[in-house]
Amino acid sequence: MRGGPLAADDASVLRRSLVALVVVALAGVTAELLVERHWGTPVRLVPWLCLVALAYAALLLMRRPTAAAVRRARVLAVLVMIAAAVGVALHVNENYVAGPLDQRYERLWEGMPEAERWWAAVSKAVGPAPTFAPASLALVALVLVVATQRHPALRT
Amino acid sequence: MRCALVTLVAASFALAACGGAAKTSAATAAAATVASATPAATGASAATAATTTKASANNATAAQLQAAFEAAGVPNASRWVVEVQEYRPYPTDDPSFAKLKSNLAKYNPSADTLARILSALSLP
Repeated sequence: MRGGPLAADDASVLRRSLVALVVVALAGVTAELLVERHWGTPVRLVPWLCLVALAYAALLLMRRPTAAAVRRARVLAVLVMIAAAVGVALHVNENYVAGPLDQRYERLWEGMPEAERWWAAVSKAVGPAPTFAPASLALVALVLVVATQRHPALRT
Repeated sequence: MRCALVTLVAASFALAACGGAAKTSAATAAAATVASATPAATGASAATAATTTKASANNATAAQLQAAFEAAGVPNASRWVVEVQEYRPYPTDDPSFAKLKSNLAKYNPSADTLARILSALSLP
């Protein structure tokens, strides 16, 4: 497939549109991470690695990919989804450990049932971490996977 | 392809809904912070804590910070030590610790706790 003209059938146009959507979403997530100053500790750099991985995967799909390139893009997308799931868990944990620091909870926290504490952390009633923000990376990765559905390169 | 797109759209809506809920909570928390940060709450405790041993915000070890915070009567001192270390370095030309205050505000501490933390720190 590499080297030929770009296909103009509906599926190919939609596929390219999804990859373009991935690029736009990556720009948005990058801006969000910059605004949040998401660095300072090694674990805070993981989303940046995910962005690089997704950008590379999008690049692979843009350049008339081979079957191997499509599979590589899928693997990267799945790895990013796993990292995003871990990110959500880390954000919830960050909120949980911040519970007793919150003035509304500092005297209540010790006496609260465990389930209530975790709910407070998940719902961001306590803590500074936006619980589901890392899931945006998973969504972008999912768009990338959708763009590889029934990819012509996989049929050759 | 159609099935995949339906899944994608559903996932987008779910994520957007979650984001909205988190922002609402954050807004509530921020409002609570503003409401509680009254000068009256800081006065007495800050004056009391001002006489305690100070630790360098930029250079003190975790043990030194914890000792200073405990001496100042900071509740959950060990946890606050982690937060103070996380946002280093602090500008040496900012004795009001504006950077530290803005970062700690995310945790919604009471004005009294914040005053005790600041009173236990020095620059550099």
